[in-house]
Amino acid sequence: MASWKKFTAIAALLSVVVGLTGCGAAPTTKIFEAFEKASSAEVNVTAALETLKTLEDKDEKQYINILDQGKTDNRNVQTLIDNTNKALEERKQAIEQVKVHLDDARSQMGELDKAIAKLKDEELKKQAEQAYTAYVKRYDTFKALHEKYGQWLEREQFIYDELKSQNTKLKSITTGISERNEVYRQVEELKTQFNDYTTQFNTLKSDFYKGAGLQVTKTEGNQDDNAEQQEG
Amino acid sequence: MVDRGRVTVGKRRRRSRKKFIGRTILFLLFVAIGIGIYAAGKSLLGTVSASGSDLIVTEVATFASAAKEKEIPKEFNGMTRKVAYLTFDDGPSKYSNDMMDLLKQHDIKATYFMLGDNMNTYPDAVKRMVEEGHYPGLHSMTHDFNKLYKSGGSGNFIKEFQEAQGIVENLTGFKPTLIRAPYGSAPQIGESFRKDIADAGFKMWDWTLDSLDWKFIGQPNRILEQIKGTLTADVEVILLHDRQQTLEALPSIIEYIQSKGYEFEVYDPNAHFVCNFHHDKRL
Repeated sequence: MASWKKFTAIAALLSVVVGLTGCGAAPTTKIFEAFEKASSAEVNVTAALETLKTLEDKDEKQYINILDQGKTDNRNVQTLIDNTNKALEERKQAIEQVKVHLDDARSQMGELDKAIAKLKDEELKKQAEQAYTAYVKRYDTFKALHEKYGQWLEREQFIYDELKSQNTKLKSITTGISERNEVYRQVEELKTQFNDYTTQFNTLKSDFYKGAGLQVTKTEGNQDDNAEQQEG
Repeated sequence: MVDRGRVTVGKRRRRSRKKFIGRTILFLLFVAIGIGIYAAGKSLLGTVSASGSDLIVTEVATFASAAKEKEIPKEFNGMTRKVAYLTFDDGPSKYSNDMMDLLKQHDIKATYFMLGDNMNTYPDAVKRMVEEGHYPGLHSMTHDFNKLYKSGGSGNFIKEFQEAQGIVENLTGFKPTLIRAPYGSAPQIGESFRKDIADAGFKMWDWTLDSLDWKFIGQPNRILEQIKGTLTADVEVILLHDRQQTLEALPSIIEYIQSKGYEFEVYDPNAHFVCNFHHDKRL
């Protein structure tokens, strides 16, 4: 009897220990799911980024038109400037949309340090770590970009207010444009960094999946292959 | 007897129940061990089993860009802005501090085009220049025509300007990109030479008004006369030098230019405009 009791106790203890060890998903699965949840959450980012690009292009053309039409009298361009202000508001909404989606995507990704640490294969661990780091840096870069973009829009607004004003002064417009150009350059730098991290994440993620023996198919039309840059 | 029988039956029943419970627990424990070992094995192997069909993955998006730097209007709402850039070549020198004192009194920022050797001789002047908002442009290391333009290409030229750029950066932390070619860019700097300058990341200014101050030693009034006779454009980039006669003429030069409705500006890399003899937009 006593031996039966002992055996039962040992078996119970062993099963709890082994059972707990087996609990939870494999780390590769967890990492894959995190990567793809985050990536899928960004599906609507593409459309918002395209909207931003269209609006930036529109602003560029409208500005030239305003300078041309307003050379002799800025009363000629009041409606044009009002339209441009509306477009600025749309740009603000578009960048906020991007932020909402990226914030969501980041939270979908979660923290993967523990899952990555559980990977036994060192090469696989390194690949996962690099991909995860690239994504985190990309998100951090976007946060800085979002803030700068807001400042950029403020500078744009100032310029158009000056162009519209009855008491407009060229010196004030000049100062405003100089400050706007400074912030614009900073935004472009951050865009470049963001795009670099995007490429890194997409590539490193693929490498990780390959290393883990996963067969994958990429969904279409989710990324521009090259970030288009206008010559300054 | 009956009571002892009831007690015996009771005991037997309790014993059976205990056996049943014990066996059930054992059975469940074996099942749990089996599951645990299976799961532990999966965890140790660390792989996601591919069922044969591909997993769908999504690539994340990049930022595109359509914006450009905005151009500063020269005219708007019937107004034309008249701007003068005071530019001083060949410094810094022993006159630089006095010159900067004078500019400070008038709240004017100037654009300097400095020589490397002089920067090494007067490093504090370079630092002060940047601190007080003047632009520390570059004018080569040697100002040597043959070395810069007759060496078979742009190599020496680029090298000297990069060296001068490094001096400013080391002294001030600021890396200037605006240069002025000694003796001007025409005719000695051709198309491919200019391409090399642009590729090296520089912008290049010549001038719109030459004060000829370098030749009016001891004759500051002649400098003012020269400026009076040639100040015409809405935007003037005025060539001056870091010399004694220029320092002496400067108060009257400033007064005259202001009397003609000009505002003084300093070079702004964020508002660059083309001012080279070739009208080369790359520079």
